[in-house]
Amino acid sequence: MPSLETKLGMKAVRSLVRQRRTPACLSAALVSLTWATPLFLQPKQDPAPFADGTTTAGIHFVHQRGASVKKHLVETMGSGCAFLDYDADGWLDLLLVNGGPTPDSPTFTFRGHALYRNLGNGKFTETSAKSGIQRIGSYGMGVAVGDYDNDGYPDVYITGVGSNILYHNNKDGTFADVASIAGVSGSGWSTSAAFFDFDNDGYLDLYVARYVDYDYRKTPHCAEQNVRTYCHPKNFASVAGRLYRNLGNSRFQDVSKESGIASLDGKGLGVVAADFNEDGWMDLYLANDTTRNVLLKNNGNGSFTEMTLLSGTGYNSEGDAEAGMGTDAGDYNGDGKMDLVVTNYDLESNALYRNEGNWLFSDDRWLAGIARADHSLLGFGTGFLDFDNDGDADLLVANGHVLDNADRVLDEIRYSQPVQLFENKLGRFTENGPFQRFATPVPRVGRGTCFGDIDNDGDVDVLINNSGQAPTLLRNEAESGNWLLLNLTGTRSNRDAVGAKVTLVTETGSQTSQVRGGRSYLSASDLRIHFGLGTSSSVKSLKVTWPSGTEQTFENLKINQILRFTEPAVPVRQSRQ
Amino acid sequence: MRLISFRNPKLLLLLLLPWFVEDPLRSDEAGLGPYQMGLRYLSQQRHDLAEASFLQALRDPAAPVETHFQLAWIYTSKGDWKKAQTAILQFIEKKPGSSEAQYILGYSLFRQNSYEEAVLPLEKAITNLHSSAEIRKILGLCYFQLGEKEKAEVELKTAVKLDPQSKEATYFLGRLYYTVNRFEEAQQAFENAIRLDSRYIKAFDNLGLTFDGLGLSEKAVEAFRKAIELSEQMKMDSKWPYLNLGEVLLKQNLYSESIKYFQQAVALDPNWAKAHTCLGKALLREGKKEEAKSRFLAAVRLDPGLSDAHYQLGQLYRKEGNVQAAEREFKIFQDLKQKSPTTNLSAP
Repeated sequence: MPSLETKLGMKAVRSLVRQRRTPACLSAALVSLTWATPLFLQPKQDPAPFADGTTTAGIHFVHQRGASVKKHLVETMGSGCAFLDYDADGWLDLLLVNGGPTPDSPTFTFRGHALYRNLGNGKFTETSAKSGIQRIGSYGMGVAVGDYDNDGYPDVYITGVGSNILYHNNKDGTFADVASIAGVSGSGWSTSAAFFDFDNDGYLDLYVARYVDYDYRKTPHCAEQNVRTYCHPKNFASVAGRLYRNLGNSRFQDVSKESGIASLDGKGLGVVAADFNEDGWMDLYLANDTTRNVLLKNNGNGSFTEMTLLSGTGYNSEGDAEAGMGTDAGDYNGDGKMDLVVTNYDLESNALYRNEGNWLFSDDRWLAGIARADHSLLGFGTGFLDFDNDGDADLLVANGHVLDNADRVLDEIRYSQPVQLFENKLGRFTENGPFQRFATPVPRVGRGTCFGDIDNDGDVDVLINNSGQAPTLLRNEAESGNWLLLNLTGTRSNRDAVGAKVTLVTETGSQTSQVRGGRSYLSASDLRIHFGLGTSSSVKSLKVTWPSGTEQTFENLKINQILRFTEPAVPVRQSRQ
Repeated sequence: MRLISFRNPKLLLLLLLPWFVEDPLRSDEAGLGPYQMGLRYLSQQRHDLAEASFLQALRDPAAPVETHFQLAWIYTSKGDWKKAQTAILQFIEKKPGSSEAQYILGYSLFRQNSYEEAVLPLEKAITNLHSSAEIRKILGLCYFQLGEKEKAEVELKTAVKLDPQSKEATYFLGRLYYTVNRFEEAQQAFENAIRLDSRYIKAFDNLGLTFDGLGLSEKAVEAFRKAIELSEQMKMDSKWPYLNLGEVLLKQNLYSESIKYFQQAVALDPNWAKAHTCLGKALLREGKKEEAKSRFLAAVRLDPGLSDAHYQLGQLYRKEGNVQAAEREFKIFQDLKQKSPTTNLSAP
């Protein structure tokens, strides 16, 4: 297959040939040949792999952060987004969480959260008012999506400063707030949340990260160069996250204390649930701001053991805690183990912890090249994605500073910052040049970021909820390889199959992925498992290991299709000990 | 590298010179009293004899009050800051309006790391000697150490404005900007300092750090190499540029080359725990676990309070499967972290 560069080059040559047929164009061509490098000799620029499809998709939401003169910390945090198929029509819809006013915000009309239904033709239509999800609760932060009652329709959990809302999906396009009845209203400042089945009982449990103990009435006055700025998180005490166990009757029980979660200190922002030691129990990784990140091993008995220090995932290589924002787990080096990425503050670097097995991780941010990127950027939303379907996990990072007056008070650091796309080349990451050229001129204040295939064309699209701005829907237009998209439905396991592990073998090698809980920053992504297959023409074998322990193997699968696998009602093979 | 390395109080000498010239008791005649003898010895740079003479003079209750001042000067030049403080306080008790005395007091307190106490006398000195760039510089450094960076910036900028040729004030202004991550201004300040002294090793070294902060690693390497070149030419044995260059090279995954520079840093200061730790990290990246371990062990032996070294050692033990030893090191690491959380004032 000729490369895009070659094709463009030939097109340019044909263009010149055509010009020579008419005298008018001939002179133009001669000028071109005399005074400038001929087009076909100029370096070719690949088109960007993503295009901004926000407006054409019909998304008119603008995030409202309620900025006030009091500079409340919450105004800096932005909000999350989600890809979910709330009407179960096979097309990913999207949800954008809105911030809100603080007690000191100037008066404005708060428009609430926004739910958009995917029409399947590249367009979305807003259904917020009808759905009931627009309801204004506390200041909106994060979103988690999960079918907690296994009824086949995704439910939505929205976190905030004060209390959280659990929206039960009524299966008719509407939602009902059941947080109080379900026992998950929470309290304090909640941020990211993750649905995952920590006790493997077939029902999704819920982890809710919490940030700091914040009182609007007691916010201190902080300044940089005599200009009032937002306060550093060190001015506020941390609060522990909460773990809610799903009792299976649409009620949850707060098990933070007995699970060990309540005793963990940290300013929680990001969370990802994955099985890091492949024992069939989902573990947790928490990205904390200015306090150590935390890795928790699921003991399989309702409790967790902290593995942070022993694993080497809590600090940078100097032993310093960083400003963890977003996080994701994925297998970037193709060894079958879930590695970790964490976005950090400017002048720090984003962390990449390579899973060596046996709870050992290696901080490979420099080795893998992601730390060498621009130090002036402050990362929030992030995720592993194979944007070019070449069979490996690339990385995307949404950036944006927290100080809205950064342009005034900081050197060379800007409030609005470009998104970064890191291309994986044999375990080393380099920024994708065409994307860099695309994203740099349109910096935004990036925050919550979610990933999913909105047009079912086999590549991963991205949605970024920008703080105080319109969102960015990045439509994947990459020249890409073959693919497979798996929609897993649990029966004995939780219906969303969160925790399922899939290993796929093609003629070029094998890949592993897991259905993860949480991910990124304040956001929820498509739960379908996406595999880029590069030039592979078929899938030799594909093994699904369900959270229940049941294993299924499929052979000789066709490529470039969306496959639905349903867990057998009777165990095929128990692999868990 | 300590932030403050003010070792040459030349200006202090100039400041005090009027006292010798204008002393009403000064005499060249034979049969001088102990005070006059002290002055003579002082003018001959024979400080021990001068000190003895002044102390003898003080046995007489009628000794001139300036005797305390002269003694304070001698102690200042000897670096005996505590004694200088005591002597000058005795002088100030009798002559509280002396700006020069306030400066000596402030400076001696500054040198004893008593930054908060140093501020008031330095401010009093400025009242009458407002044109002194030197006092502004010392006051700026006091504010810096106290974490009052905005006040520090005002004083250091004033110092540079009053004496644009002061390479130290320019350098410290750069350090201030570097510490608060204002790299572009830091770069400008260090480049100005280098224009004032093209052989200013510290300025080149800090310019390298600034370029590293700006993500300009090639320029950082160039600046560090220049600092090393000057250090070798001048036989100054500056250890920091070797360590800083090693760290930049390590970030670029150039393990062997970084090891070379860390080894040179260790050779220049074998008791430098940080350099041993850095060397250990580079060796570990090259897969030389045993050598790395010996470096980490050396680091914790040399400086048991270096949390980073305990963290590295803990990681290494963990990878060896020695969980007990790893947990022991992590416990020390956590205890140290709780005692002294990271602060950016400790930057080189």
